[in-house]
Amino acid sequence: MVIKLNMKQICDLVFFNENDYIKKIEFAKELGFNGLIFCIRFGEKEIKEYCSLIEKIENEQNFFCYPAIIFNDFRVVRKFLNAKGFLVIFECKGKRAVEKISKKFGIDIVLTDFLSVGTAKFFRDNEIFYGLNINSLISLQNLKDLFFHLKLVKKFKVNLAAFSFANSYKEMRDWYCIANFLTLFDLEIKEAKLALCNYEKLFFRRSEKFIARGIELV
Amino acid sequence: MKILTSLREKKRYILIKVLEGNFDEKKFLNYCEKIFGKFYVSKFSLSFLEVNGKKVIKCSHKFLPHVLSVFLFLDDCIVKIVKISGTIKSLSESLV
Repeated sequence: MVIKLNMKQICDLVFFNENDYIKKIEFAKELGFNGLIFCIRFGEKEIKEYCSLIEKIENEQNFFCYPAIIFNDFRVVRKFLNAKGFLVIFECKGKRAVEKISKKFGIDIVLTDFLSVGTAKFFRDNEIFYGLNINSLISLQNLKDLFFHLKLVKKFKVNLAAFSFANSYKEMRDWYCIANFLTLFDLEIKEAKLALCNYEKLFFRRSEKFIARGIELV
Repeated sequence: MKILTSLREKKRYILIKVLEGNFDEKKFLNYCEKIFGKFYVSKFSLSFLEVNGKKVIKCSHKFLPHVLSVFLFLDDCIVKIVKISGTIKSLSESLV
C-alpha cells in the first residue's frame, strides 16, 4: 500500500532511530502531523536498505513515512543529485559552500546559515527548499540570522521547509506552535502553514515517474 | 472600576494537553520572559486556569502567536494545542 500526501497535509522531519521510531510516529499522530520524513546522515546506513526499511515501517504503521539523507560533503552529494526514492538534504556552513551548490540542480532542501539575494533567487528558480531547523533555534543564538533569512525568503518567494529535526521524540512539537512561531518573523499564517505542508513537489521529484522538470512517465 | 466594552481587551483561551513531562507554570513564565523580556510579557496578560481538570491558558488575542511559540522552547514537556477559543463556554465541547 502506498500512502500519498496532498498539499494540505502536514509533515515533519525527524532523525531516524531504530529504538524510538514507533514513539515518534505515535507522537506525530497526536501532534497533528499526517506524515513523517525520517532522515539519517550519509554513511550511517546503506541507502537501499534504509529506504526499504522506511517503506516497511510505512506499511506496518499505516502512516506516511519517507526517507531522507543529510549530506555534508559537496563531493558526495553530487553523486546523488538524480537519485530516486529519498530526499536529498544538504547541510552547509558559510558563504563558499552555499555558492558551490548554487551551480548544481537536484538538491531538495538546503540547511544553511548563509543566504544572499543571489542564492535566494537560485533557490526560487530551481525549486530548492530553504530548510529551517526549529530545534537549532531553541538555543536562541540563531534567531538574528533567521530574521534576515526569512525576509529574503518572503521577498523572493523561496520555498520554505520548517521541520523539528528531532533527535528524540521529546523534541517534537505541535505543528500549530511552529506555524505561529514563523508568524513572528513577519510571515503570514498562510505562508507559515505552507512551510509545513507544501512538499508534494519534492516527493514527486524523487519518484520513478519524474524524468526532468515538466517531463514525466505516463 | 468599570471599563467600556469597546476598551476591554479581547482574550483567547488556549486548551492544552500535556503529552509528556510536567507543565510548570513558573517555568513557562520564565521562558516567556527569557524570550520576549519582562516588559513585553506584561502585555500578554497571561493567566493559568484549570477547568474540569484540564489546563487552560488565558492571554491577550494580540499576543496569541507569541504565547504559542513559547511552547517550542519548553525543553522538558510536549504540549498539544487542543483548541483555542474566545470564551470558556465554547471550549466546553472539548472539555467534556
